[in-house]
Amino acid sequence: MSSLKLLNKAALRDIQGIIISGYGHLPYAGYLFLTLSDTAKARDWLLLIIPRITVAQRPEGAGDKKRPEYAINIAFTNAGIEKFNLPFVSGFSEEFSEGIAEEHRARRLGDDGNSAPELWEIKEKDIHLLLMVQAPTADLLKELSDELTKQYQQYGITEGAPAQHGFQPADNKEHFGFTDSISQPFIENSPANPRGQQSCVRAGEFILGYHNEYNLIPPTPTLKAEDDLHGNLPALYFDHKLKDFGQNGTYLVFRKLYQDVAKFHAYLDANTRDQAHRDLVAAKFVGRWPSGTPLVMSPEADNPDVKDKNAFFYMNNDAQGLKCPYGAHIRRVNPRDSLGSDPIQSLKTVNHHRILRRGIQYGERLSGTRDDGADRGILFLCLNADIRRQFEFMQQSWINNPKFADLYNDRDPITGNNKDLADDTREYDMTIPSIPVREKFKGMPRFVHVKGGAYFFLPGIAALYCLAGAKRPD
Amino acid sequence: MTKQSGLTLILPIKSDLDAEWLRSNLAAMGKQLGKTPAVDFRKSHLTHFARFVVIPGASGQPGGDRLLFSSNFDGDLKGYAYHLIQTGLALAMDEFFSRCEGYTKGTANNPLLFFRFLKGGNISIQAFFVALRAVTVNLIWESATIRRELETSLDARQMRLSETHDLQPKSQPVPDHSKAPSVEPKKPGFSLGTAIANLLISTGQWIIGLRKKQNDPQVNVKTAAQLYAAEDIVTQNQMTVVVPVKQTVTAYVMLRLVLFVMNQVFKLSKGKLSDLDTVHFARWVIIDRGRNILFESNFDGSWENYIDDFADHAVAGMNMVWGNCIGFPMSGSSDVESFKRYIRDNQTPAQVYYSAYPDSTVRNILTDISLNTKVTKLARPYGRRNFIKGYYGSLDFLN
Repeated sequence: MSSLKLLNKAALRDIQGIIISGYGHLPYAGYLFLTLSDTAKARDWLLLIIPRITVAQRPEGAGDKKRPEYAINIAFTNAGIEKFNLPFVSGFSEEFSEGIAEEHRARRLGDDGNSAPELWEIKEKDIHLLLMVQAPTADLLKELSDELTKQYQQYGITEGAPAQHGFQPADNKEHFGFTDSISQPFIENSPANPRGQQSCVRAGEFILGYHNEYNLIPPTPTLKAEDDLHGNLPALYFDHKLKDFGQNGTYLVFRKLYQDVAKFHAYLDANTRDQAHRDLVAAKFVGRWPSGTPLVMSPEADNPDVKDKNAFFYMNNDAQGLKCPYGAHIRRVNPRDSLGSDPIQSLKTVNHHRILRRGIQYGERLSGTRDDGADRGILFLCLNADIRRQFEFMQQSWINNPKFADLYNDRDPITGNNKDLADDTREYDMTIPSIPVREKFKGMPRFVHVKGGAYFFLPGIAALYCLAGAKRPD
Repeated sequence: MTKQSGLTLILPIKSDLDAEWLRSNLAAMGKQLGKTPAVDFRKSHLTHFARFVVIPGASGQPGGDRLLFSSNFDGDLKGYAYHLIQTGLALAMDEFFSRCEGYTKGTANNPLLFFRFLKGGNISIQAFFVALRAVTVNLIWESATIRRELETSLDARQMRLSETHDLQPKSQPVPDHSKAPSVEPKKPGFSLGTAIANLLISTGQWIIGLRKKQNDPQVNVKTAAQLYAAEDIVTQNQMTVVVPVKQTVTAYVMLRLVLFVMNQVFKLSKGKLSDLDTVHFARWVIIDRGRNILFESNFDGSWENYIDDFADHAVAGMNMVWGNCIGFPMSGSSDVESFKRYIRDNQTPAQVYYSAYPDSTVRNILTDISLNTKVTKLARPYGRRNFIKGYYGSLDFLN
């Protein structure tokens, strides 16, 4: 057995920065969905852009000064890769090649009713590539986006779907009022790792070319050695006649998730006894209080002072779900030690199904409780080496699975595919274990709707040069 | 105690035309299942799961297709054969069977002939996994009803429980199947038995020809559209896999030995297959005089979840069986991607898939039954229904 391939320093200059960091100091983000017409021109444009792509490696120096002043990252749809005349790259994953909008896929992701792919504003079939731009202020973001737009337009590139802009507030509170993005896996050997490394996951779960949690190298797209005309790519260690196009790249899932905030509040108002009960039920749906403090650590009331809001497990103090319900959002998307009867095995299993979230919020906060008709929600963006085993699995087997954790008929009360249209025949519940009798919320409405989505491949820098048809400068 | 049995019929289809006819008519029926089916298994309170699958001929080459009918049922084959006639199911299947060789139209009218047909065609199962031994369809249905009635009562808040420990809604009903695990991990500790078993397993895998090596990262899972189309419709999914067995002495011996041992383990473990609790019924059947092996499974949740479970919990078992088959990755089933690809490549879509309880997972059933037992005990003086409704005084005189 060959030795373990772990993330190393040298690779950081080939890895796009967004994999390693969400760039919290750049809270304004714009996502540009672009379509190419002329491949030759698009390649010229790509050559101009590549040097500006933010890589994982930070410039020499110490401290905050060396954080990037802005960030640009780039990803391609299957059609985009083909458009760059690289039909000879083979071995992309099935879900990436097919796209997010396939009927059977939509069924597993829960994209039906008003969330059906045909109704989306952002459709994968209209997109070749995604430019992700991040900046410290709204003005700088606009300046940067305008400049990029002016530039790409000269190369026959147009907007394939409406650009999306978002902003991450400093308190990380999403539109329903809860602190988001608390639990993120850390990549082993990543420079962005804190010392604690609590939920440290093998690099191969998030970046191609490294060993993953199964001790396997993830499937990777390759091309024949002679087709790598400029010798940019590393040889596939497994078969030296091939070049590894996927090395240091990964798959990216984008989804525009609209949050029906008015409905969320109206539902809670109509189905709870008083303010205290309302606050509790909302927290039970999420699994955390608005401050982000998990119910497991503070079951009765919010306690914003809890320092590490991610340092908890379920089986040692809430095996029965009396604090945090089994069906609660956070217990589904990261079940930690609570899957099945063996907590250690559970933690291992969960590590096979993690994602790196890099999304951002969009839209103004709803003031008042009446729906103002405005669009708001999350521009959900996640990175994983295997969309099927990670993102899709979470969506199907955890979030939308009515049988999750011994339940009978419950889906995720926050992000689940609950009752949407009046004629939906199936209704799902939310069960809150409590003594003496459980509370059951029947016929939960759907609060989060999908308005767009696409699967992308986020290549390493060497692979980008390969797409551009040029030699990578040393 | 009612035993669960499995029926496996593989019948050569008379002609390619008949095969086409069966494919389309069975598929049409499969789509209608649960609505207005021609063969309505719902009438059968003995059938847990059943399926019709058109599978390729013994050589695996096109042409010579065969019809696979299999079911998991309560009791023995004699009782089941008679039951199928009584419920009219046998007659409904007559049309399908009569497109196959060895079946004379009208056989289903005669209980003795029909029984002989089933018995004569039934292929013996080498390893049969039953998650819930002695649990009949009736018990599953009844227990689910009890649970639903209880839930309804709770929803209507008609039932106020002062004794919280009698009927805690979620936590108490299932203490007996390792639901509430301790935080203490199982101590690995040295056990001679485990050491010998591990040695045997690794020797076995070595003999079979499996070698640990780096996985090939060019392996990608490809899934046929028909497989996707039929999946994730109800709580359970089915898997039908037919693969050729290596024609070597080692494979011949190992396959039979391993399946025999597994079958004993299944029997002794009372349905608890390590931590795998998502499989209702599964079977390995050596067919075509040892040329091929048929694997069938009825499992809860997604295909992806199912295979991942195997990769997490039962690598050795998978390797020891599949390792004797042609095309199985040398690196074994811990090479998850290759294993997944192998299964997907060899999976045959089922035209008809019936589940008697399309909304119950194995764990749901365990909860229901344990709840049923408790309620029955608690409510004995009043009658269960009365108890649930809150009529605590005996109303026996009314019945």
